[in-house]
Amino acid sequence: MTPTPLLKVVPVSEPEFAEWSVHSEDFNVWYRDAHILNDINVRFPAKGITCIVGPSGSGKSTLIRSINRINDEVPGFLSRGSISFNGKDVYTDYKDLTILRTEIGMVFQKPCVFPKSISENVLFGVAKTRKLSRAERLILVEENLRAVSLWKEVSYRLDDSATSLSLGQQQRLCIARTLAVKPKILLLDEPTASVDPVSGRAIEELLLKLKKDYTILLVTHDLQQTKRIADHIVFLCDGEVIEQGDKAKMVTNPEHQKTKTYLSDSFCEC
Amino acid sequence: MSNRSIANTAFVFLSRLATGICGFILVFLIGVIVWNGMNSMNIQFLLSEASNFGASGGILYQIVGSLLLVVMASVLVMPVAIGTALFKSEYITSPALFRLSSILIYSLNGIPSVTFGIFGLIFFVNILGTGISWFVGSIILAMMMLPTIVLTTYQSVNSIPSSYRENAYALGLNKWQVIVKVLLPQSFHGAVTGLLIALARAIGETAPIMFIATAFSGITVPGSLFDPVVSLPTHILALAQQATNEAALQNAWGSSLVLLSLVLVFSVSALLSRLRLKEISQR
Ligand SMILES: Nc1ncnc2c1ncn2[C@@H]1O[C@H](COP(=O)(O)OP(=O)(O)OP(=O)(O)O)[C@@H](O)[C@H]1O
Ligand SMILES: [Mg+2]
Repeated sequence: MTPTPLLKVVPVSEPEFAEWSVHSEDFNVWYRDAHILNDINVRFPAKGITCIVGPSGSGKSTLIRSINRINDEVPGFLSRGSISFNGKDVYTDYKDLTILRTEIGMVFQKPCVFPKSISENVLFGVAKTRKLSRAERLILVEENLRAVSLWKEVSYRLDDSATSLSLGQQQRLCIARTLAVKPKILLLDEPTASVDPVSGRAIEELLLKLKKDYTILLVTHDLQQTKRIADHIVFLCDGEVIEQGDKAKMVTNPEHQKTKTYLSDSFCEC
Repeated sequence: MSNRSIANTAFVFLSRLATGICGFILVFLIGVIVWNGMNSMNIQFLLSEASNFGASGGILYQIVGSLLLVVMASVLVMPVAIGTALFKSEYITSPALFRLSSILIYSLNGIPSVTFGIFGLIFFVNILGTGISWFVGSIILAMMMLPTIVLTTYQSVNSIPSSYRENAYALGLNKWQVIVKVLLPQSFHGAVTGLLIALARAIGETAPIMFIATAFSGITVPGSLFDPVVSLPTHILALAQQATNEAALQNAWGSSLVLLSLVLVFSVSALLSRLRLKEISQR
């Protein structure tokens, strides 16, 4: 079932494959006996922000957790179909999951810093394979903390415990830690849900800045946020993709009534 | 008064009584040992060699020997216990194996200490021909300490939220790196607490070491791994058997007080370590 998209006949109106950074074909997920995702066919364009929206329990987290295969750790997880990332199937072409996960970074809903210093947290994923020189460490820490606009706030206390930061700062530190590994794609599962509105806005600004260099997949419940920052929207409901497309089309002129109702009232009867 | 409130009052009374009895026994035992032991307590007693079969002189080498036994036992048991706990928590997926491992650990905990002693005597001293050896004593003590440390370490590894593991995997760490960089640092305190609890028990054990590791007198510091030592609990046992000798009995009380103090040091450290652990897990 490995897709050979380069040879595939693509309808004229759709962009070339190279612009689709991640796409899935008939992707299904079960947790034990529960069928969670049903024949998912989605395409996430390279660069820019794709928001994945849908009611609670619709399988948004399950979908993005399947892309970097963090779900493999969940007992009872089973998948069928394919997810490809730049032409490679993440389920068959990556024997070494650590490589896949350095290429696809992920930030979770609840900030989870390690009980170590701020700079050790930034370097956590980088320092795993090789010893870094002092200069390298300093550069990496500053560069990535600047990238998430945290540098000014913490530059004078890099050796303090990361647990002493506020939740919003911790979440930005988690993003910095993920960026330090130099992924090509960022998966974010409701990154602003457990932080205060101001930090939430700071994270949105940050994502807008990062979208020039990264493909960003953002799961969110916040429709206002979606309307502010999305370039592309995927609407999931009850384990199925109802509709996907550009923000403009999805918001102003959706094909499905369900999409229209959800994107205006955040309500869905599926 | 209604039946219910009578029952209630009776229950409160009984549980107070039970607590009172526990407290009384503890205070009584400690009181008797301190009262009798204080008489022989002085620097001279702590820092000189036993002579005249323990009836005179001090217990320097008994203290050294006991510490030597438990320190070596700790060195031996820690890697095994931490490894077992991590294996149980991170690698065993089959429920049957998991249950089996729990049963094994609890059974090991339930084996009477004298059985360990006999096992050591037969297996090491007779079959392997090690002779009376303090190192073999440490191995046997390590086996006795194992379940306690495995259980506390397992509890602390298991209580690390899975989000830490997921975050580490998401950064591209492999399982081994997750264990070394995330799980070990966050559960080490549990292992230390378990070690201290186990030490408080092990240092007072007599039966497991009396056949295989200790001699009664005439020994200072062992010259090699396969020499005997003298130890506090076996010294107390030997002195107490000379029931007609006033001086020997007095020294038995003194030795008991020293042993009790060592146990207390380990127990209090375990308690402090446990409190610290709780503080960390509530963060
Ligand atoms: N580890 C698991 N084991 C079994 N079922 C699970 C597991 N994780 C999620 N599910 C189920 O899968 C379905 C989809 O869950 P998922 O977390 O993907 O939803 P979601 O869209 O992210 O919801 P939310 O917006 O509330 O985060 C739910 O019905 C959930 O109960
Ligand atoms: Mg979710």
